[in-house]
Amino acid sequence: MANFKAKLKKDTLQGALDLLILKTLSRGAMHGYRIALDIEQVSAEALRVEEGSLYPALHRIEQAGLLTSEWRMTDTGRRARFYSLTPSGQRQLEEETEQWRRLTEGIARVLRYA
Amino acid sequence: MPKFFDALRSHIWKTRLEREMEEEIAFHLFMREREGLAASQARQRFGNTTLIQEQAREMHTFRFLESVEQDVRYAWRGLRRSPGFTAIAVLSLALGIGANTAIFSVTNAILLRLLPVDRPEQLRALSWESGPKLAMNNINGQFDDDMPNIRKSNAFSYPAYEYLREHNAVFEDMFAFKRCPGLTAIIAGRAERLQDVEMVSGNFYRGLGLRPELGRALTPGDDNVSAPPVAILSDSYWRRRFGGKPEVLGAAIRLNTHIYTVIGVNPAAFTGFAVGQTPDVFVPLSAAQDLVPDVPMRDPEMWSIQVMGRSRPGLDDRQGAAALTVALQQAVLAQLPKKTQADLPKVVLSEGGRNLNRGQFVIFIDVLTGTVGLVLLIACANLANLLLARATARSREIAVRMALGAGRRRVIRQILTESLMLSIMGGSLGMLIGYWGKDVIPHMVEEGWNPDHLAVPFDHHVLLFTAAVSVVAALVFGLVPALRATGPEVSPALKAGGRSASQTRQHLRLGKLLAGSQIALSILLLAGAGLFARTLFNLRAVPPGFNPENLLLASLDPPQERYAGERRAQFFHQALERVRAIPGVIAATEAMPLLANDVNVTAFVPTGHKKTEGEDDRASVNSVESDYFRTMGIAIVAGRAIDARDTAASPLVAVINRTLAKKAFPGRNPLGETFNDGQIQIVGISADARYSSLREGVPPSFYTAQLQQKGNDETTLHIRTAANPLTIANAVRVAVAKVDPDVPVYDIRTQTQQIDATLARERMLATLTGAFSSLALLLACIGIYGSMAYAVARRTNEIGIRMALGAKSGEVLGMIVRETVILATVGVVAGLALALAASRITANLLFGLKPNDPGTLAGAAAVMLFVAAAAGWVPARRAARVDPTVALREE
Repeated sequence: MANFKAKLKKDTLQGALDLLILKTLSRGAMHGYRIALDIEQVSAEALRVEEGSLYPALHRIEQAGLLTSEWRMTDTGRRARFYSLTPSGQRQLEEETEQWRRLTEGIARVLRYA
Repeated sequence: MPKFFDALRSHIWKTRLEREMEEEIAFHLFMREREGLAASQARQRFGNTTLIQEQAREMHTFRFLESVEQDVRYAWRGLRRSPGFTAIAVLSLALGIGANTAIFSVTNAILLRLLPVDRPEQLRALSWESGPKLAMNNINGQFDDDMPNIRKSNAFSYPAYEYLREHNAVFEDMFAFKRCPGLTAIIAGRAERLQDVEMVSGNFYRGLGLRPELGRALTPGDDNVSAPPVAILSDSYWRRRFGGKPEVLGAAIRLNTHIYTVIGVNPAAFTGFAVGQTPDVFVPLSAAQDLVPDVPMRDPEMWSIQVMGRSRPGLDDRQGAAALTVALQQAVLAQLPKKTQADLPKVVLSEGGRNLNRGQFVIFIDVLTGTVGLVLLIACANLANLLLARATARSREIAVRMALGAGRRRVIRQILTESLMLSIMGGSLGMLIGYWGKDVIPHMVEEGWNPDHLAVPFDHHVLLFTAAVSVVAALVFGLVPALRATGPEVSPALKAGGRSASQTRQHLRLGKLLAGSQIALSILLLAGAGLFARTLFNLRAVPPGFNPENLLLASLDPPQERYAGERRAQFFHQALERVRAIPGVIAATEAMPLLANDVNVTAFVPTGHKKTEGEDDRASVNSVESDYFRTMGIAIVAGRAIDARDTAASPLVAVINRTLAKKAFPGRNPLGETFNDGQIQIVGISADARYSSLREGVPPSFYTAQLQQKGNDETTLHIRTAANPLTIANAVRVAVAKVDPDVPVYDIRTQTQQIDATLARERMLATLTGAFSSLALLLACIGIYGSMAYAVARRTNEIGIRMALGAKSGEVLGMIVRETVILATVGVVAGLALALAASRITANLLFGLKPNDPGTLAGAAAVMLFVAAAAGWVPARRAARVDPTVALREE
């Protein structure tokens, strides 16, 4: 367990991944594979989501009450777990987007100044 | 809450979460594969699937466990900070839970516990019910004619039992038994009194699945008049009489004419089928011929044995009873052919795996369970109130935590953790109290001279019950304060430093509601205790009609084969002569004891009287030796008493009591009249005396001369003494032993002890409800004090302003006391309404007053109001002493 905790701390981009997941899900409920695929496609393959971090992240965010999930049938008739945003997830997304914007803006200014 | 349960669920049922994870990952891999990627590549990208699952699971359980640990540590710190509160909380919970545990352990022992035999839940006891025209002549067993058109009994004839067994399509097996209460045994040349002897059919041990802890079981081969007589001892008798030595096997016990060889000892857990009936010795039913010669076992008219069967799994009791009814009616028609006009009995099946006489205890247990349940509820209300005050005091801290992002659920959980810890501590202490208290009730109802009481096990059922009660109690007293403390009003708490006016008001309302309900529930208990106490008082005040002081009772049961008829009479004559010679004895006689729940009822029809349909011609009878009326102090109002003239050779005589004289001979002089076919002549009329119980009025009764009766039952010496009668107990033993050392004297007690024993249950109810309602009163007192003290503390500022504006301290005092009294009055009124609503339950247990007795209810209300006013006095005094300058500066 201690090992696991340490790993969480090391993962500095965890916040970014959460934001990406929330943003992607703001377009509607989808399953894990679809989320990973969307992030890859929208970022023009610049961002590749490791499944090894995607699913733990999904479960963690769900634990925090920002997501809900349910088992549904896909178009191809297979059972899959669909995630969707909760109202507090929606709010969290707005807040974090704003924070992210300010953060990147700040970083950009510093970079420009140097 | 849902999150809490989510975590709990994943904690316990890991597998389900894992299954879902597996499916989710399988789906992912499948999608990758479909996208054209090679399966192996997809798996590679995924990394270690087990690790991912592991991580997700840890997310659920680790966080949960970690936060639990946090909560526990936090709550522990909080409780240690306020040791006074913790002590009161734990102690009141311990008393409440302890009382419930003690009562439940008795409930468990009497109502719930299964017999320690093989698959006890399959056992069915047989009984029957029939119309009033009974098919059989003699019933020697339990017989119930409470209802006008239904007769119920658990007694079967031996031939009917045999027929049922032969035509049995219902049970795996059927077996029979009959208890013979009290027998004299001679062991190693010494005569002694046995508790009970159970006669059982040969397949009894096999049918029950009962294995002796020592030696062998009885077998069908033993149940035969020509087989050598054998006996099995109960564990307690074996330990008591034989010191628990294994050499008991082969020992000889003489019961009546036969010598029985001990072949085994029953396991300690098996004490018989009914509460208060714990046979010392088990013998085959074939011993009946020897032990109870007056109950002819083979006679189809004699219904005297109890029957039990082992039901096949899945059998419906109603179908079983229907099939058995067919067989029983066939048996009745075949064996009692003259009774074709009679009502045929129907078989009723009931649970055989529990105490067979549990029904008679239900009402007492219900009342006691209700009482201790209310005590615990009051304790919970008390704690809720204390916690509420505590949570309000901590509202600033809670508000900060919630402002910093702690979820409401998380804070509620934390407060509940504190409640749970209190109740676990209270429950543990309560368990000890319950263990100590479990034998109190059996001790209270046992006969003082015969200390054989119910063994109350403290088994896992009791422990489970205590644990469940503790957890439920924690939820009951913890939830409201937790919800309230985290309610929507937290932010004002931050601003006002925990003293927002509206929150305080709300809390005060809730606190008063809780204190008020404590008062209401206490009134219910006080009223009950008052009713039971007055019932006991009323029963004690009933004049018995004879003088119970300085009267010693001692029972004798000379073996029938040695003392029958004339020899028996001689034996008693000699024994009485010796007893009368003991210094300090004023008079002595022999009879059936009064007020001992013993009943002997027979028909009393004056000669020449035409019986009308439905007329009750029964009268109670007691057969007595000479000097009876002088010994007892019962006056003869006309004619003469039964005396030395009335011997076996002289004409049969009787003395009737006034009630019978008035009933059977209205407006006539009964002296010289005869009754029951002219056999017996009335020679005297006595004053009225109570008969079997103080609850009954004086029944019509008559006294016959002992020497003229053929009865072989046990009988009791009645000895009137000048001083404390127990001092001559040993002299009586010696006197009887001089006549015959093989006739033991047993159950030596005073008449007062005997009467007390018949009041044991009333006394138990009065004592316990009294004790519990005192406890309730104490708790209510704490509750009222707590909520008023809190109110005063919260309103110090307001009181300061009032006094600054000129209110006198007497007025402030009056204001607070008035508030207390209003609160108490509302509680009392609600409590009285509850008491009236609950009065139906207790009606049958009372004597000499109605459950809505105004005096008792008024008394309860007065006590409650007085206590409430006293509890409110201290905080009121504090309020009156408020110094306005200090109070105003404080804000």
